[in-house]
Formats: sequence, C-alpha cells, structure tokens
Amino acid sequence: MSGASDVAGQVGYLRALLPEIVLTVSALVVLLVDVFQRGEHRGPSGSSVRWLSVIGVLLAAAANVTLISLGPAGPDALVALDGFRVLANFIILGATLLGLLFAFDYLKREGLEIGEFYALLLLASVGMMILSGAQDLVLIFLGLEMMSISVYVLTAFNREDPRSAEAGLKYFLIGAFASAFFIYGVALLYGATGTTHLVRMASVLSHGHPGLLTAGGAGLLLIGFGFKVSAVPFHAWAPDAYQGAPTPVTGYMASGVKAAAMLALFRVLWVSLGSVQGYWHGTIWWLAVLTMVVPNLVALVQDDVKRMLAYSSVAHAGYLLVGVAAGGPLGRGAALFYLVVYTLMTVGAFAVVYVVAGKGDRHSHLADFRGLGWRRPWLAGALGIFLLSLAGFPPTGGFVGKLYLLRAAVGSHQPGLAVILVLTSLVAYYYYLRVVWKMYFEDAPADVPEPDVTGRAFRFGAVLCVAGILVAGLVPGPAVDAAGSAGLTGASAPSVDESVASTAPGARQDAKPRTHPRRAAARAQE
Amino acid sequence: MTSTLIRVALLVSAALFAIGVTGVLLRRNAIVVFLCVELMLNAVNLSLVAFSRLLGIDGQIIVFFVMAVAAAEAAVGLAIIIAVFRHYEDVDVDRFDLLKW
Repeated sequence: MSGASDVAGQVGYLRALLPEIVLTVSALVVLLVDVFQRGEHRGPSGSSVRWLSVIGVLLAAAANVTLISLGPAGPDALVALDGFRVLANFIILGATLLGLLFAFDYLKREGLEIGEFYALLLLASVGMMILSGAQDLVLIFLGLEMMSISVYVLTAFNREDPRSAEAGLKYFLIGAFASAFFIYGVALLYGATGTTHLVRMASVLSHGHPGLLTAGGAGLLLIGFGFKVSAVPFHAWAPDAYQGAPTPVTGYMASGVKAAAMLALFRVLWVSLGSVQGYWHGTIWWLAVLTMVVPNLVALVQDDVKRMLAYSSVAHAGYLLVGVAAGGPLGRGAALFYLVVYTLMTVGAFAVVYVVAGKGDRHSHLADFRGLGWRRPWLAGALGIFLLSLAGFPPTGGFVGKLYLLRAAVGSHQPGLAVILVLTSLVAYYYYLRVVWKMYFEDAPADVPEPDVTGRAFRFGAVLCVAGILVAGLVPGPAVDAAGSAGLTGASAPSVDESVASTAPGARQDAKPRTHPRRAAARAQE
Repeated sequence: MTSTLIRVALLVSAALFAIGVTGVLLRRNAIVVFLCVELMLNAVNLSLVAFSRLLGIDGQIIVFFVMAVAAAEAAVGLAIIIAVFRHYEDVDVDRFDLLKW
C-alpha cells in the first residue's frame, strides 16, 4: 500500500467512490429541479429532468473512467477498486443509459412523465454499483436493498394499470422474503467467522474448520441471491414481475438488476467462500442446469412476446451461472462479456416490444408481430438482430458470448454444463425464430394495430444496441481482452487439501495481478 | 453461562425465522405475509445481537442497518399494497391473477 496512486485519506476515499457519488448527487438534483419546476400543479415534468438524468449517467461513466488509474484499495476497504468493479459499473451505467433513452417515448405515451421515475432509476443504479463493488456483506446488503426498493417502486410505477400494481406487489413480497434469507445468511457467516468483510472472511475460513454455521450461512446467501438473479427454482416471481412492469423498466430489471446481483454473487462466492467450495459449488452447478433447462422449455409455449422474453431472460441467468460456476479469470471474463452483450440485446428487445404493443401495452401477443418486417422494416430489423443475438447466431455478440461461456465451462473441467448450454440454446432457437418468422413470413391482417412512431432518443438507443451487438460479434477481441483481464480483489487459489471434494474439482483460480481494463471495453459498453 | 444464553438465543432466532418462512408460504393476506417477512428480519436481528456478545460490537451495529432497511421496505411495501387495494378492493394474494401463464 504505497505509491502515489494509492487510496489513502479522505480525498482518496471520495475519489474511489466518485461514480456512486456523482450518480447520487444527480438523482437528488433531478428530484429538486423537478419539484421546483412543477411547483403546485400536477402536470408532466419538463424535459430538462430527462436530460439532467442522462447527463448524470454520462458524468458517472466519466468518473468511472478515472477509477481505472487508481491503485488497488487497501485490504480493509469496504468497496473494492479493481477491474471487476470498473467493468461492472460500465455495464450498470450502460443499462441505465439505455433504460433512460427507451423510457422517454414510453413515459410520454402512458402519461407517466414524472421526475421521480428518473430519480428512482438513478438511485437504483447507485444501489447496483454498490452491490457489485462492495467487499463487505453488510454493504452488499445495503446496495441490494437500495436497488431492490427503488425497483419495487419502478415496477408498480403505472398506478392506473392493475397489472403494474400486481407485478409490484409480487416482486416486493418475494424480494423482501429473499432479503430476509440473505441477511440471515450474513448473520450466520458473521457468527462463524467474526467478520463480514469478504477478504478477511476468506482468510478466516481458509485457516479454520468451517462448520455448520458456515454451511448454513452460505446456503442462505445462495437462496437470497437465487431469488435476486431469478435462478430456478427461485424464479416464480420473475415472469409475472417482468410482464406487469412498465416495459422499459422490465428491460432495465432484466439487465441491470440481474447483472449487479450476478456479479455480486460471483464476488461473494469466489472471494469470501472460495476456500469452502464444497459447500456451494454443487448447488451452483444444479442451479445453473435447472435455470438453463426449465425456462427454455416453458418459453416454448408462451404466446405473449413480452412474457416469452421474460422467460428468456430467466434462461440467460442460467447461462450466466455457468460463468459463475466456472470461476477463475476465464469464468469471470466470460460472465462479464456476456453481461455486456446481454444488456444490449435484452434492453433493446423489450424496447421494441413496447413500441409494437401500443398504448397500455395491450398488443404484445405473437400475432401482433405478423408482417412487421414489411410494415416497419427498421424496427423489425432491430428486433430481429436482438432475437438472433439472444438465440446465439453468428455474427452477433450473443454467439461470441456463448462461445466464451462454453470455453470457461470446458476450461474448468465441467463439460456437462457446456453440453447443457448448447442443447438448451438449440431448444431456444424455436421460440426466438418463431417471432422472426411471424415478422417476415406472415402477412399482417388489416386490423393489426400500427406500432407507434418512435422518437429520436429511442432510435439513438436502438442504434447503440444494434451497433454494440454487431461490434461485439464481429470484432470481439478488445472487449474479450478487457473482460478477461478484469482483476478481482482477493480471488485467490484455494489450497487443495481444504476444498472439500465434490462435483467439480474447482475452477482454475489463479491470483492474477490486477490489470486495467482497456478503454475499448468502455467504448463497447457505452 | 453466557454460551448457554447465546445458544438459546440462536435457537429462538432460528425458530422465529422458521415461523416467518412458514407464514410467508402459507398465509394469503398480503399484509400478513409482509408481517411474516418482518418477523424473519427481527429473528435475524436477535441472532446478530446474540453473536455480538461473543464477537464484539459489530453485530449490534448491523442491527441498526437491518432496522433502517426494514423501515424503508415497510414504507414502500405498504404503499404498493394500497395501490393494489385500489384496483382489487382486496389484499388476498390468490386473487391477483391477471398475470398467469
């Protein structure tokens, strides 16, 4: 801990937390500006609120770039300062930016232009950034709650629509239930090790004899995370909440919330519980398998495209869990790269769905997509690319991401996961291609409602998504390098004698020196 | 003496947590379900306090965070329950069936 770039003293702490601080301040500014602009009358918020929130996200991304040059934080730091956190922040900020851009049209159409929406979106992102960057279980809990509570409100944001309120209630009850499991797991791990700090917990666990408390704590943590990342069998809330929420919020939930929770899960498992893999590795393996198989099968019979995409996003949690189960630099890189691509394609796909669905989100049935390719070629083309990428066709980013996950699974000697990933992806082709078929090979009847006209922000966001997916598919090199070299503080090799032998003999886990993710990743993400 | 006390406290906390879980799974009234979640959180608080007898002040500080989070959750949750009540005139979770596959 020496050198000019190290984080020490008050100013250092502030610099290390700059993205979170910038985003929090801009959320508060958005709230204040909105209050002063609207005053007593209850009308829609002015457009300045929107642009303030976009600027806030961009400033936070700029602040995140400055983190790249900061040295590693000290061993006691509550928030990590490593490539993993920087990339996670870029993914989260990207999801937020896209969520904002796609929300403009939707909010205007549904009469929901209220400043709180933007403030809540920004605050949820702050929670996500804390969640994926924190190195202490208590701080992880706080980030998790900050994210979840904001997203509960966003889910129930459309108070006129009973589906939105119902989705909010389901999400809230299940989410609070999951949080209770999570914090009970934290309490038991605290009881077992005497600390809540991930790195210190790791050193305690690797020296002592982990007992019942550790096992129970790890299990409860897994249940809590399982709900948050919507892993089967804890996924029952996800399709309902995703379908009922306002559609831009759905895209944001499916990408940002999942990304943050998945990355936090990765950090907790491989940093603090890395030496007791026997307690959780088999469970993660089964969670990954179930989460790949079940939602892909259920999605086959969905006739509502929004609900089909909701199941697809649950299935993608399974693919990401393969990266978590693989662990090591390879699994880390695969999960990060896949999250980048997944964010672009999921947010984009949900956005196109709301345009087609029309006012009140009434027309998201498969039949409403008939002939879209001829009526609205650009819109259908974008959706086609998103769906092909979700399915994993070359030359899209989804293909490269799946390849990378396969390599991670094989590299960590878990070929079973790789086989299941391939088979379930093949099954998934059916329901993705069915939409593409409807768009291009079936004629629209005369009474099909015409999709909305899209605004500038929407088109800009869609172009960003499509471009990102194609760049990630055609020239994946820079982004793959950046994701693969993202260091994770405290991820160290478990000593062989202490890792209880179970299913897979542990992933390759070498303590790589921290390397800076390249700017290329930032560009690909933005 | 202390360790017996702690063991009893941990057992009580586990029992409270289990009661909370059972309640969430079995009860159908949204408000009662929410009460059961609060019971689970307070069970966690009890075990945190018990652990901090052994391990120092940290556990008791975590309790404050949990309480603050529980309060924030309650505020949002009750607001959502009211929003649902306005549509359905009911808070029975079995009756919310607009979203089904």
